[in-house]
Amino acid sequence: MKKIININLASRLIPIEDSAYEILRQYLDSLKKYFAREEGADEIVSDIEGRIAEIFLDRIKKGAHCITDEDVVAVKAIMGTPDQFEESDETNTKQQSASMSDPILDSFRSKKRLYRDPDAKVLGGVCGGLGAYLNVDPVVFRIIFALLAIGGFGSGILVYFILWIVTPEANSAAEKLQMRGERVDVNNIKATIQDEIHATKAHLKHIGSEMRNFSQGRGRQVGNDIERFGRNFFDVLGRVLIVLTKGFFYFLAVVILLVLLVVGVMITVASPVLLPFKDLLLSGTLQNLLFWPSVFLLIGIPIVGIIIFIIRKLTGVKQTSRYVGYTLSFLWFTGLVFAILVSISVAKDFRLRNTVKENFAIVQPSTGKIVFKEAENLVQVEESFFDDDLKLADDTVIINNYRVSVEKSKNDSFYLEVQRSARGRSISQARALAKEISYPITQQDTVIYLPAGISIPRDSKYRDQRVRLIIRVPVNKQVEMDRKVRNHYRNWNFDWDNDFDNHRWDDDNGDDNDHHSEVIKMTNDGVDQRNDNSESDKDSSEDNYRYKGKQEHNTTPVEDTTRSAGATGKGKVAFEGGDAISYSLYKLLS
Amino acid sequence: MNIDNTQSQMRKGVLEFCILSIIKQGEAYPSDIIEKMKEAKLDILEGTLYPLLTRLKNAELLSYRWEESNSGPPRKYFSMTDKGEAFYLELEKTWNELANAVNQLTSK
Repeated sequence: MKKIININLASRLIPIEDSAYEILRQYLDSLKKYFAREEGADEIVSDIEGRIAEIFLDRIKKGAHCITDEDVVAVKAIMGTPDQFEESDETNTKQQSASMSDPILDSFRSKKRLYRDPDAKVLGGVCGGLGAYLNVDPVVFRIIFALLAIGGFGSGILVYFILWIVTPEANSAAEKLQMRGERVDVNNIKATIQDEIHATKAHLKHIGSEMRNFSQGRGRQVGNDIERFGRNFFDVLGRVLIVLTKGFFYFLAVVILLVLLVVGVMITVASPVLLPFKDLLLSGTLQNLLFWPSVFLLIGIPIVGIIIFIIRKLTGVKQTSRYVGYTLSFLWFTGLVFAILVSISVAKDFRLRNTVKENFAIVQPSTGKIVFKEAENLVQVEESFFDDDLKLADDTVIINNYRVSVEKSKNDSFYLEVQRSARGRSISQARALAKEISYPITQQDTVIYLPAGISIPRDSKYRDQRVRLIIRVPVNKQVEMDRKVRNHYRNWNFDWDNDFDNHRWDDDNGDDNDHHSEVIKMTNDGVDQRNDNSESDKDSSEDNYRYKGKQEHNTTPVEDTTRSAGATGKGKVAFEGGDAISYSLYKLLS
Repeated sequence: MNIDNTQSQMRKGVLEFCILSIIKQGEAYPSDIIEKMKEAKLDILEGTLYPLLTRLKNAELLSYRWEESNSGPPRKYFSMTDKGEAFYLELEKTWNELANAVNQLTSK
């Protein structure tokens, strides 16, 4: 029992058996491939199709109900197969094809090659081909792929599809022999063809002898190529150049591939670490939904594409479906569009800024000088990024993004203004985020302890939260900052919207000397600042837990030592007291 | 050396000359050409004839016209161009010289 289908061949309707159609299709495909290198290939193939249609219609006119396998085989015998052309067309086409294809590749062709086996296929015949290539039962590969597909996060599926795309299917007898690595001789060809098509003995003999000629012709052709090599030096030079350029592009492709792979691997490895960033930045289902697809597509598609390219070039496969390219480009652009959408959406979340102002009530110092110090971190930090600028704790995110500026006070008192600000999609959102910022300040005698960073709840979003401290200093009074606080100090006419980091003082080279601090004196004209690095050196042998406020020359030495001693002695206690207070303040604020 | 091979090489050399001479006698359809060559015991595969005709046509040695056929798709009828005539005469001259030379050498 056989199914009959109707086909349109050269604009003629022809009823044909299903199996016969399959043989015809493969035959016409092989012709197309063969004539592809010829000028006017389409015309030749359509001429041949027209002739085949004519022969078939003649059969039907003579009373046949439909075209059978035998009819197709007969037509193939009349028209000839590409292998036969190759032999008989040697003097003409061969020269062309030899100059077009690499002689090196040609000599490789007679070796074993990886094909997909259409006779032993479950899906695409990849495993069957691998089995034939490595002489192992295909079931082994099927099991490996299945295990990789399940256990290897789908890598088996990916590898399988790449192999599916890049390896050609073994359709002709010669290809099947190459797939198995058998010698292309008369007996083998005969056996293969007997398996493949049921034709008459005469037909087999015919093809067998053709094949013998074909294989000998191949040997002679390689010899010719070598001769040509010797004859034409410039030809050789040109080829070497081509090979070099090709090599360069392969090299480039491999480098790009490696870079992409490394990036991919890094992202995979770093994804658990990067996850908090993602949660900090992204809000809403759209952003979260599109984030991972865009990352995978943008990085994964080029990797797949380049792997396909390299394998294709290495195996010398010329023809693969162009839809592969279309699909890959489409997927990549989808990834790009996703990425752009996410970026726009995130950018919108940073659109507006709002600031909340607050005054910290300072207990006015009797010495006329206030010292600012950075408190040690109270929170157990889990992870730290960007040189400690961003720290993640259990329930808190600490951002090292506060700035200090000094202004002249209007009266005789010190003032400390705290401005908390954040960005958001709307003013109210920005305001809510700004209010959420926790920045607990504590005062211990004349020392004001600033937290090491601004804190926001872990489940909140990062929207460029900042804290700005404005210290208002009365005329003729002084402010002192330790090194850490000074890192955050800006000139008082600092522009709020400018990027902080551009102006950041680079005094990292002073790391080994933790003692230099800065004393700022307020005059009628504004700030007068002096560094007292030189003096602090003699304290380095003492407890360097924190800097003991170093006075300028205008204060009396006695006062200085008492104060310093007191500070040293109380240091630890004061800090712990500060802890408790700032912690409660933090609780109160949040 | 392989006898089949040498034979096919010999045949091939005169193939274009034969095809051109058939077309010179009048418009021809590829199957006609095959038939005539078969009659003369010069077997070639149809599949090799089509690219050969296309090449000759692209070299402007041949031209063709379509003709409706009642037994199938329209047929291409090939005829010779002026350029083809000149080309043919050249080939004929060479062939005659060659044939004479071969005859002379082999009939001793």
